Amino acid sequence: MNTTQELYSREDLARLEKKTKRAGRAAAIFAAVTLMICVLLCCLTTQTNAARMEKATVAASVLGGWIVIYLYNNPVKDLRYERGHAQMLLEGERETLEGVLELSEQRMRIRGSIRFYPLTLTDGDEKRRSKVIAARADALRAKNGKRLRLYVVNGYAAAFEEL
Amino acid sequence: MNILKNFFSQWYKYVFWALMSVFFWGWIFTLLTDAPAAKKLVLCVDRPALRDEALAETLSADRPEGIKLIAVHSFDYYIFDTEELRCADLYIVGEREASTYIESFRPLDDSGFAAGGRALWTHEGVAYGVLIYDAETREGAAASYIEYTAEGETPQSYYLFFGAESAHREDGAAATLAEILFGLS
Repeated sequence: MNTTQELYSREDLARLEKKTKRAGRAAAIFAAVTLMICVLLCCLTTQTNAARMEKATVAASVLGGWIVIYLYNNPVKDLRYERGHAQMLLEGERETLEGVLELSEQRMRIRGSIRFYPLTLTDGDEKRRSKVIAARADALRAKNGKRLRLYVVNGYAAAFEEL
Repeated sequence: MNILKNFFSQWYKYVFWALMSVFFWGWIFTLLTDAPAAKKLVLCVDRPALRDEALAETLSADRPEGIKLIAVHSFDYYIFDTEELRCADLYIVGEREASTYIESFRPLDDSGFAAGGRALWTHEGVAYGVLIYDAETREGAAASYIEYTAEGETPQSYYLFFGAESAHREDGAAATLAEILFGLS
């Protein structure tokens, strides 16, 4: 008997939400620490050490800010996009595609959105295109070349069943 | 690798943040350390090779009474604000360029400074500057802070001038600072 394998579960969604919050909190803490260091350096400034303190403050601000930008651009945003898509896959209306799976090796990204791998399902002469979220591509990669039934929401694979 | 990739793909955000930091903290530190003209003495030196912070620190150690801040800047500092340059209390300018800034200088007689036997720079019969660096002997005051002659440059003598717009003629602070300056090696 064939079983349907879901790419995301409710537990995964809850886990993603937790991770998103944690990454956001880490970025916020880093920003607060940077600001506190800068304020402390300002408080320790006198007429004689002003030039040195200004350089130190700018250096702390630039480095701290860069780390915050990096944290926000990578873990926070990526997790947020993934969580949004996971929710869509769990709650969206599904359509079914059938065919032999061919999963691309080339990871792609829609600007300001999720990373994904394109895939094609070939059923006779008919080719149907879809995508799988990069974080869950490994589950499908093992089925490359096999005939599958794919459950798709808004063009993204939500679940599959080996035929 | 991922960090570098992110840096290059989002470089404009990192550059923007760096520029914002420089301008913002520069503004904050100006607010923190600046003082009103009545409590500040400004020395402008027409030499790019200048240890301005070190000189300001040395002068601040013995600053005249009532003065909160002594600032030392090269003329390049005022590239975007020439009006501010006119309001300095003291200037060190080479003899070749001195006449260009004559309107910013106060006649020596009106400065409250006793030049003693020092050589003077005069313009139309009026003395304005006091010799602070002699091109012939290559000796001068505060020479460890100011590079009066760079390599390959034709030497010229430098003079100390008093600012026409200085707020420190009456209280004698500018003259006191000039005396301290002449005492530096």
